[in-house]
Amino acid sequence: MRHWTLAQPVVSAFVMSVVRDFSERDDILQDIAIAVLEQGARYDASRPFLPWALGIAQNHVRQFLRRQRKERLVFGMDMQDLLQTAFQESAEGVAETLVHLRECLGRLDNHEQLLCELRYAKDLKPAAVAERLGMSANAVSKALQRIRDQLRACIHHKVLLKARS
Amino acid sequence: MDRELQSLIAGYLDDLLTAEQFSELESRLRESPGNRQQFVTEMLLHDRLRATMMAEELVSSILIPPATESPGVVGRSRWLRARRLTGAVLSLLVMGIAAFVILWNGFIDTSVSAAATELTRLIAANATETARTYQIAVEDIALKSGKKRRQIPDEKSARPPKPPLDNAVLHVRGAEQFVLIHTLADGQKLLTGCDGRLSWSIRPDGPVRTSRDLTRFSHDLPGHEHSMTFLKIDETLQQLQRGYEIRVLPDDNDRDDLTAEGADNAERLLIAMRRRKMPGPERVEIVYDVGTGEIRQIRLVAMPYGPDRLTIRMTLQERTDFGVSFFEHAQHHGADRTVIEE
Repeated sequence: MRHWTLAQPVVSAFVMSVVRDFSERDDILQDIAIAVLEQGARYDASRPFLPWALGIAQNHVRQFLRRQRKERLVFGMDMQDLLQTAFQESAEGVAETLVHLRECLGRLDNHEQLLCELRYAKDLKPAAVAERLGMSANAVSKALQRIRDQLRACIHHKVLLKARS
Repeated sequence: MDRELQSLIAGYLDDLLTAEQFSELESRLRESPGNRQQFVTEMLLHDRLRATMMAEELVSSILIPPATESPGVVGRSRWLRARRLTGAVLSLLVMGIAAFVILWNGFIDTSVSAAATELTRLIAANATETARTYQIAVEDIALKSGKKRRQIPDEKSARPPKPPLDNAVLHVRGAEQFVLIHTLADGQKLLTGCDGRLSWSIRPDGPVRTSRDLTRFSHDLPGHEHSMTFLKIDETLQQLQRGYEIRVLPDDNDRDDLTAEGADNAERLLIAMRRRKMPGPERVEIVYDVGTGEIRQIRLVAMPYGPDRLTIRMTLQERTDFGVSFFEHAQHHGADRTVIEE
């Protein structure tokens, strides 16, 4: 259980990298969590947990894609394998730095926080955000990209400060 | 950082890429591990942003009553307001809600999937049917439109068309036996129940009505509209598992064993938020014993009840088994009452 708690953010991001709809991602993630719990006895504790959990996630994602063919642009299976390896190799370190995210979010201005709220808390796609704010979808996407850049810089800064102290 | 790749990734996340651009992204990712690393970093940030903002949203939805909302106004971030309100509330209530704040802090970092597994454990812990008595309190009544709300203490005269649930007592035994006792405004009692063979209704006046249809008089049970009556707890929890987003707080990374010693009397709160297009109460909050999985309180927020949406609280009073005869109608009315079978 503890293993899963630590691995879950990486597994979640991996699923998101292929299934971008938030609520669909949530459904798949819940199924994965249950599968991890049910198949826990098969996990070999002498091996790293994350690759095992990502393997289960990969299967669930593929099952989902077979059932749902509405994803317009989906990575092929070979690319999904490459991404799974990339998550396996580097994601845990990155995920740890994201503990600073909440603090960095607090530094955004009102408009930026509103954009984040509409996109991430209300699950609105840029086109829907654009409609509410009188912007174009591309402008919203660019603005969100700038916000993520800012957040990444802020997080990086905090990681450096922590390392120095 | 490769700006062009970054832009393609952003377009991918926002579903704005053309097929050509998507192919380009794919070939860029295939090109080098460094590019895939950049993609992974962006996915993790995007995913964590969603988790963090959803947690804030949930906190604000609970701390800010819907009546104060202005859904159409987007000039100012609700997230910011929620944070400010949270600060104000904390400064006012200090010690009294310290425990509550700790719970919420734990909650914000709680993972969705860990909560799902916790729910699975809770289902297993409640698979055995036990006799229970709940005290029901109605916290709020919202009209179906959701625009006009009224608080129970302010307008006691305004009651839903169904019998009032406030101060009702619900005795449950097994999956089918129940006695629901409503207290009417004039103090008289209205009872509905089922003994597993007959369902029945006893009004203050008129005949006692019975039916072999066991669901005939179960319409007033909280959650009846969507078969979430909590008579059979594990089944209702399974419904939550299917149709709701689950959160548990606090998350202490230490819930490997619900029966662990040392968790005596510790309580945890499971919050289930209804998914879009799913029927049922908007939110279900369950306070349960960490050690035994015993459910001590159930709160159904914006629960459909006739034309209204009620927020009710069902608090476990006792676990005494009154025996099967208690659930027969004859135990609850005089021998002189006329009984009609429908």
